[in-house]
Amino acid sequence: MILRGEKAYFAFLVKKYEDKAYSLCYKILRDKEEARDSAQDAFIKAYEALPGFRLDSQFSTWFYRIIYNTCLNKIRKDRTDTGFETDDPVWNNSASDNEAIANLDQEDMKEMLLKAYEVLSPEEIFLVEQFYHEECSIDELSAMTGLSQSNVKVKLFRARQKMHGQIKTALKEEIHIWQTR
Amino acid sequence: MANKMISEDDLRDDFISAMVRSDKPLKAPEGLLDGIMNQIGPIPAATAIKPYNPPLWLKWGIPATIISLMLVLLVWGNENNTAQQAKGPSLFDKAFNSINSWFSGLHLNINLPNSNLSSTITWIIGGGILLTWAFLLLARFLDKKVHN
Repeated sequence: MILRGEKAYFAFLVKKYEDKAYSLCYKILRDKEEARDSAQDAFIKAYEALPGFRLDSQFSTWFYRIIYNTCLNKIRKDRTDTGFETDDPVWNNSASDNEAIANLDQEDMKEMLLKAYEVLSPEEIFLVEQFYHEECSIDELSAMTGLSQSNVKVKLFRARQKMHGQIKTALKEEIHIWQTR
Repeated sequence: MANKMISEDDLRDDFISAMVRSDKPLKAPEGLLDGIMNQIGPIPAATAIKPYNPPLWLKWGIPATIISLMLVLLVWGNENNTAQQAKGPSLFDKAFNSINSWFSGLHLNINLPNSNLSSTITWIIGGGILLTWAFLLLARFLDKKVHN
């Protein structure tokens, strides 16, 4: 029914995915208005592209690919890519660092996440969200992004390093502030 | 690190997973659904969705071919079977004989099996091969048509 363009049925899909789509767009674009526009664009593109949807793949994989492309196109268009393209040094976790990280509560975690995302490119944020939150496989991520599996792995590996590095820097700053009080 | 050496398990990270999950999905803004439905409203279903409509010859040609093949098998195959004993070599024998004679012209001696298949089996094998190829080609053709 949905594939035949029944709008009422498509509304069910929108209802099911609107929160996830909006959230993902917001995390990548970091702007509520742009996230709303991009989520809307992604749904309209999905509706128009439904005849091309192959039933042998999962709808969510196919739809997240549309979101990914919509957000990246938006960023390219606005030229507001705030991500870092350079390679960061490898961060090694020491036992004390891991302990400090483990003691963070939910609110601190959220704050840390925002800081960690500051050093990631939109593409990396998408991969991190889908891999660590949605538990997508490398295979699915490759299908969503159009990147090769090894490329996805390398990007995730680097993103993880960047996140750990950023969190440690933030924690050290906080400890320094606390000590100088 | 060589990318081939990074496995999916190497990338799993409990801390990052917990951190990413600590941030619950945001609620979509009010009116997002209405905005989307308003925008897709003017898109006519016919232009939005283009189901493949096969031409009449193709639509009726497939069942017609199958039915006629079955009829031929039933009627002609039966007739041939009764006359089988009286008749000479089967279609397969003839085919193998001519292939053998071609090879003998090339001074090659390949002994093809001296089969004695009934005409019904010949028709079933021939028809099976033909139908398999017909369906494979048709499936490919339809697949291309739908995705273009």
